[in-house]
Amino acid sequence: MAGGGGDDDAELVERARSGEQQAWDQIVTRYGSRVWAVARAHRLSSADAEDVFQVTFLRLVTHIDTIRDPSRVGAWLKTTARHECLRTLRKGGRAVPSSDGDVLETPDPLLPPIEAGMEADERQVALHAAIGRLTEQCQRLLRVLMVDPEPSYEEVGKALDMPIGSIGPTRGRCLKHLRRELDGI
Amino acid sequence: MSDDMTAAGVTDGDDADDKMLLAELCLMAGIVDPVPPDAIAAARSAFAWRTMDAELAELTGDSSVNPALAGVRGVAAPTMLTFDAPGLTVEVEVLEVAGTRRLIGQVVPPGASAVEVRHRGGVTAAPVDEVGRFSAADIVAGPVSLRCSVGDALVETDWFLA
Repeated sequence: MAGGGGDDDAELVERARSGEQQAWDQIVTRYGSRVWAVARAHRLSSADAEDVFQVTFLRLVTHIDTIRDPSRVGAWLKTTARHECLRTLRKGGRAVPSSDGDVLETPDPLLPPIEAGMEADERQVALHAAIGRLTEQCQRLLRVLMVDPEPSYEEVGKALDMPIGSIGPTRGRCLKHLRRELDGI
Repeated sequence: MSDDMTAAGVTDGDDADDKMLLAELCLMAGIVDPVPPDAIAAARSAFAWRTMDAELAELTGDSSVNPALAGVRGVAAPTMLTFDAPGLTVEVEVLEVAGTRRLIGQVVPPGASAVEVRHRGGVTAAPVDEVGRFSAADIVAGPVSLRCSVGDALVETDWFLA
């Protein structure tokens, strides 16, 4: 079987509709990491991300017979996950990204602190120091990009309410700053 | 870096460097972030919740998306949800009670004798009174769906996060 998308997806949905668990499992395997990346790009905690992940697939279970274009089930999952992320952010009383892009505070430090007695090599200490000297905007962007696999610019744009076109250049600039800070140490 | 490198080559090199630097940061932050196996397992077993013959009541109103429905926005306002199926509306208010959820709602028009709340803790049955009201306590926070029988029809709501 070819590796994903289009006709393949339509066939998987068709088989799931007829009750085939194996086809459903393949849908979960194929799109799981993308749904997860959407949740992480919205900077949800692990627990919230797992809730979003689960409710997204549960919604597909109830909608599988009615989704209009089965070949676009991947896009359907992403849209649903994004909607649930925004709902979770609002429900939690947390600030929702607004147009000034200034509302999201950074809840976690970019890197865990290096504690006394911890084995940290020079490179780690240097990275720590260098990150601390980046602008708030860069730290915020890097935090969202620090997800494996790296989220799409579209997802990052939604999470930080930045125009998609500005993410690539900002990413490049921030990493350049980081490298310059590292070299300066 | 040599001078005869093409512009494209330089760009690719920078891109690869950027990727490596980000990967190093991820590694340092301990973020190797695959989907947790538990989440995959839960999503797979979600298929077992499929009810072939049920009518879907779709989410048509959500106060957490449209705050106007909830009145004053802000501190722990309960979430109000509305689900619509042909000929039937289910309204639900989600309240936080000591880490669990309490659902208070109404089936309109009345006619169902009970509502089943499906959640992580299992299935909780709540009786429906003569005007369609119901209340279910000790619902585990997370994905929830309601189900009820009205006449011959089985109606279930969209899943939502309570």
